[in-house]
Amino acid sequence: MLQLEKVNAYYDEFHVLKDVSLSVKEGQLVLLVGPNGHGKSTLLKTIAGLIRTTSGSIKFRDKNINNLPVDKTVEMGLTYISEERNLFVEMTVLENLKLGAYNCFAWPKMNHSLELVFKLFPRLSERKAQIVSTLSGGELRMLAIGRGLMSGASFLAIDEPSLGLSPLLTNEVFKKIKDINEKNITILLVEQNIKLAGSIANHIYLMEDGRITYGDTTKKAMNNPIIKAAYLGKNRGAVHDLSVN
Amino acid sequence: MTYQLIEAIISGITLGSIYAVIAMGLCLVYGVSKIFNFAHGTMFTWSAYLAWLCINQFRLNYLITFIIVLPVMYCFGIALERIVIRPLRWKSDWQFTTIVATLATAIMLDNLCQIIFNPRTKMLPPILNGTVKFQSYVMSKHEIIIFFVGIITIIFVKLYLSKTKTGMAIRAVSQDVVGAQIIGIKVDQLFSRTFGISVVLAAIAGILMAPKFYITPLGGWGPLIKGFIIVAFGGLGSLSGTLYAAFILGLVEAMVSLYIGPLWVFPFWTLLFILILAIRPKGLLGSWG
Repeated sequence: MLQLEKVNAYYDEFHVLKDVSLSVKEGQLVLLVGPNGHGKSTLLKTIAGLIRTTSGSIKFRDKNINNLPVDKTVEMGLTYISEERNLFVEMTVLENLKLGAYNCFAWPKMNHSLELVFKLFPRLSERKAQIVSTLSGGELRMLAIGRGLMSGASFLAIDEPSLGLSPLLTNEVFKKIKDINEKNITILLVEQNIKLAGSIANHIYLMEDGRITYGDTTKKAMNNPIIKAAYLGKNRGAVHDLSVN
Repeated sequence: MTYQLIEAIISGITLGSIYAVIAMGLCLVYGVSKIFNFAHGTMFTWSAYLAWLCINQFRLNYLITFIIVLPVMYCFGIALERIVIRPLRWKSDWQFTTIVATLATAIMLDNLCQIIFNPRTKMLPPILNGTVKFQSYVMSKHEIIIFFVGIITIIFVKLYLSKTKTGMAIRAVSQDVVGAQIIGIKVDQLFSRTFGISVVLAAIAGILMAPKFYITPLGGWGPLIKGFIIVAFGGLGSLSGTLYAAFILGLVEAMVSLYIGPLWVFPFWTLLFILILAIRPKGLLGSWG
């Protein structure tokens, strides 16, 4: 469904993405892990069209989407849910969700999508008239995901949904992401917490210093000694040894 | 005494409604694009001149004048955004360069106005002649029209922003540009639409005010400065704050004119402005994020 080949991108002057190649198949839930500041978020932003590529190709449903403006990728069914959430904090929950269906294909189907989102997140239904700035951290995260779903996307790129959440809430959010994936929506998930997110993913990629250094099915990845040592064991600081290997 | 006071309050509210219309335009553009549009006053002037053309030269009535001038000014606003602002946007220091660019545009358009229409002042007849007497209070019909058109415009803008798809998108962009982009809003297109709407608001005020004052090529600078004080007073980018500020300052203007003298209006405005900023540095309803 999504194929990246040798994608290079710069953030201001910094060469962040270096020859990144990866692929996500329809219906998969792919996890992208790696240390902070090594280009995971930049990769998602590049796929969404917020950051330009300098070379390489990004294909979505076999169409080139390199440097397409964000509104076009949204119309094609690819929605990015940012780590900072980027919600409209002075509007109500309902207004935020409605705006999620802004693109011309999703707007006519708004009521149907609203029903779907409220079924998935009953909490949002209870709070729909509330101003967003009064919501709790977990509710904000759910709203961000809900708003992303409203676009009628068939592919969600979700950036660190566990950021700032307690372990209990993180678990809940991951469960919802799994539910969404089971509704046949393909997901590319960026996450630090490989232990938790690994349990719901089919495939894991590891990104270090702007490169994909490892990629395999979850089962194999969880048994890989390097991954185990760096991300699953007690010695989680030893991340950098990996790029040497 | 009380008779004068009530008259001052009525005139203050009327002034407030027209200031609100001018300031809302500035506020919308600032809220959405974070640009302070120095050409806003010039748009006010240009619409007054266009109305003069329609009414004095082509002998049209006010209704048709509005129907002609407002869409023309909307296109004017879109062109302003496309030609002056868009080439600079997202380049380095664009938030500063665009402000200077609007200032330059204002000066050029004012001079163009002087060349086309010559510097002599022009006059427009009131929309309706005569006065209305209510017990012992007398109001000119034109003032009443200003008041009602002002209020209707405010309500209309409020409804537009809260109920329509584009209106909601405008609010979305003003609250989070990245958030607006990732849900598929064409942000650039929305910027120019907002400019268009803002210029239409300036035009409504410009046409309504023209019969009260003379039309001169530099006539827009007064309303621009007043609009700026109102927007900053209310809290930059806050529409409700701007509305409150417009009516408060309109009333202050009427009171000061009555009890102290019209020349003292501006010193009082600035004094009040400094005071409010000392108490609430982000203005009346400025966001504290």
